[in-house]
Amino acid sequence: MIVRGAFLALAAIVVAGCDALPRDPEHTLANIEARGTIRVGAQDLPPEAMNLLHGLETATGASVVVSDGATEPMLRRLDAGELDLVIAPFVKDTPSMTLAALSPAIRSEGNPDDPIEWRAAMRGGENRWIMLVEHQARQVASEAGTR
Amino acid sequence: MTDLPMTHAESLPPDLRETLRRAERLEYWNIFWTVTIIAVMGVVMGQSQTMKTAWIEDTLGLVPPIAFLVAARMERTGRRSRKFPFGFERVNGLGFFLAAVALAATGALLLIDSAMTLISAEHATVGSVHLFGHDIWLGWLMIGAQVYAMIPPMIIGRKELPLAEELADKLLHTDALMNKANWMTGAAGIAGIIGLGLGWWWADSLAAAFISFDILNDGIKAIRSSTAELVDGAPRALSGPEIAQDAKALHNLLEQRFPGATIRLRETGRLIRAEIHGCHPPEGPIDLADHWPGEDQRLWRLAEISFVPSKDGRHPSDGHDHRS
Repeated sequence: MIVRGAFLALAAIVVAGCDALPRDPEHTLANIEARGTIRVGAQDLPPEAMNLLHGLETATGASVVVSDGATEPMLRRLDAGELDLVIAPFVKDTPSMTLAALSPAIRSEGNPDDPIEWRAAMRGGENRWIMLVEHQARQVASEAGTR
Repeated sequence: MTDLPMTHAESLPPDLRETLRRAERLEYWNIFWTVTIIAVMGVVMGQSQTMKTAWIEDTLGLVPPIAFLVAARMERTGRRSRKFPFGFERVNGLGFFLAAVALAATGALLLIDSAMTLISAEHATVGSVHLFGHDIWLGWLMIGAQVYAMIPPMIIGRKELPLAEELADKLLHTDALMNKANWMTGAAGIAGIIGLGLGWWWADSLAAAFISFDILNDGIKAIRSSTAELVDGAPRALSGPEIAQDAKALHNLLEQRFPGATIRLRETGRLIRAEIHGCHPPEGPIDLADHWPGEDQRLWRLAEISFVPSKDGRHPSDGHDHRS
């Protein structure tokens, strides 16, 4: 009886929550929409990164505000919630994966066996925002033929 | 001497040997389904602490059935020899001990890991995957995997319990409990992933800590029971470290039959052995059935009654209470 009840409850959550989940623990996406700006840390952005930012602007209705800086300090600011996104080149299996959530690659450069990949980094755990960026990154990558 | 059974299984009644074979078949199915669960969970695990904990618990769930199958095979085929004059009836107890240690150690490690994640307030990232032209939140796949992981343990665990009772097999019973723990883990895991999806970053680690604590608790109980057998403690109940009911009844009956003697019972695998100290054996051959207080079909549990008279033939007044 308890098991059947649990399954029914789960089915109800799945039906009701398909679009509602996931949410951001620190409300990154909600804050972007409320503020009307996406705070991006980046340097010398390639065209694919510009396409990604345009896609995010369209999806959120917010405008991009770019801050310049080196990657490591920007990742720190991202973790502190001072930035919403960092776009930078990363090596494969970069140690930065432990500092932030990384999107699929939007552009690859250099040696194909050990490429430098441009990715968007998001604050860890902000799963709704991460999902949105991943979706946009996949679209950009597919248009650019990266993946 | 040549009439003595050469393997432990040969000394068991035919019905029980058939039950042992049924239990072995069930354990092969258990291993098959567990491997499929490990594969499915591994594919969707991601960075979730709950999923990691549940996956390790599922992987660890292979230890009891493998230990049972090894022990059962040795019971069936391991012949008594000069090097192993008592055969391999205690292999089951050894397997039980190994499974218990593995269970407790993993529970402790996972509990520490979950607690550290909780204390450091790590926010688990669960992103999306692109499947069939759609971006799907990985959490939904994790929930699907957890639901799948709940079904086989629920069915197999229920089937194992009566077999474990019939065989007086603590290893099989531990496996049945572990299967129960596994599907409860699935339920806790689903709650953790949904909590994570709702933005409660702590839900994932908290569910993992809850699961780990349950594993550790099961492991400690199993260690207490298994070490009791290995150090010749009195026979323990299937489901806990207290003394088994049939052993208590046997102890009482032997005390009445041999007043003043010290009764010592121990368990070797699924069998009970009784030693009566400070008393000569009665005249003529001993029929174990005369001294078994339980049902006839459980008589196989009593493997041996031996007598240890004191030097002067009377009850030894060593001042110790040998009753368990």
